Amino acid sequence: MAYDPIITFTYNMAQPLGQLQDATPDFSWRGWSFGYRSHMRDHLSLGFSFSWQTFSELESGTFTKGTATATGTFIRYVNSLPIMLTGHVYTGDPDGFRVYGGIGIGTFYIKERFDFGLQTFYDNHWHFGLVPEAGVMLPLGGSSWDLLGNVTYNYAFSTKNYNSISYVGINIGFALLI
Amino acid sequence: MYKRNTLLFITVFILIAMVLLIFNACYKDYNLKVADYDAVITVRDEQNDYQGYATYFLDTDFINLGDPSDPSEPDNAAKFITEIGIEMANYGWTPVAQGTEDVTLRLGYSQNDYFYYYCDPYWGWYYPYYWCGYPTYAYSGGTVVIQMGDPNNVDGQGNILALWHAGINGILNDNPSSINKRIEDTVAQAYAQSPYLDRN
Repeated sequence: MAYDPIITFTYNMAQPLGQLQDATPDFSWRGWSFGYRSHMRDHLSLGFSFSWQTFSELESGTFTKGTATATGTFIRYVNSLPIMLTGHVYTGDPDGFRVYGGIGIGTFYIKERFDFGLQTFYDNHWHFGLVPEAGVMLPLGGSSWDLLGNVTYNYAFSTKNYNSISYVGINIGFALLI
Repeated sequence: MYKRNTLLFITVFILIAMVLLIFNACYKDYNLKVADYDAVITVRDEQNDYQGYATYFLDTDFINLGDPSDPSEPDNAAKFITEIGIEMANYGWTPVAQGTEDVTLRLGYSQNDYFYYYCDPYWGWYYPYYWCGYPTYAYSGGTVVIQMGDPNNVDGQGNILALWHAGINGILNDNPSSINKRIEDTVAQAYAQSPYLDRN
């Protein structure tokens, strides 16, 4: 059997954690990933991945800080784009059901937007981050396609000016053996 | 197995799509109504308890904050003046002739055009060739500022001590009855979130 390179596409959902959950507590149904893996050895692959997850929260009310008080509609958006070099280890054979584990090391590009009434404020920043992952692959008949499902823990480390960002991803999609 | 050229094309296509999409982002549309965009901000003087004031003079000439030499007034100037008078009365303040007041109220306004770059949450998300970036519609936003100052407290440069600021911002593209209602609500809110002004 051949351990061919793999292209992965997944639809991603995510639960924010920690300070991200404080800012945008709602479960995210808007995300996706693309990845490429090349087998260095039979059960080991190296590759890369791009992902995109969006979080948002709407709040209306009155808020006071110091001598200022503001009333209106506030919306916070957080777009997380992890760009990772990845490594994965697999059990089983490409022709059958496989379980794998892996980790991504790289950077998170975070795009934040804050709306208050008609005013919009943007803030973009980069973080070093890690994305450990565990998943399964199930071949679809005799084709080159596998069903793919995985869980990821996305962690962007804090920087001098920004807090850490973390969320758990639940992703389903396909793997194409090329 | 797929031909490598086909798969290379797919990979390059997706990478190009990622580059395009990485520098845009999908923002959930919450279907806000016009009134949802109204914002009221007030700032108080931290050192003042406002207990030493009881009378006011309202200068009904609006200052164009973008061009102070412009003598024009905002479209709904009279409505704002009426509502400010109502709220000041509710809080127990007495209007007096200019020159005899404890505090002076000055009014300012500005108007800005906003261009909204619409990102269809479906197309912009799944079809990279419909990415965000083209202006779909524009609207006008207006801001009215109310400033309360103590004319009897002037510094060496002739500046009057500012006691309270209120800023009201919202969309101007709306029907007259709705605008009137929104003016009533936002002016009332400016005073509701400033209970320290209550003389009663």
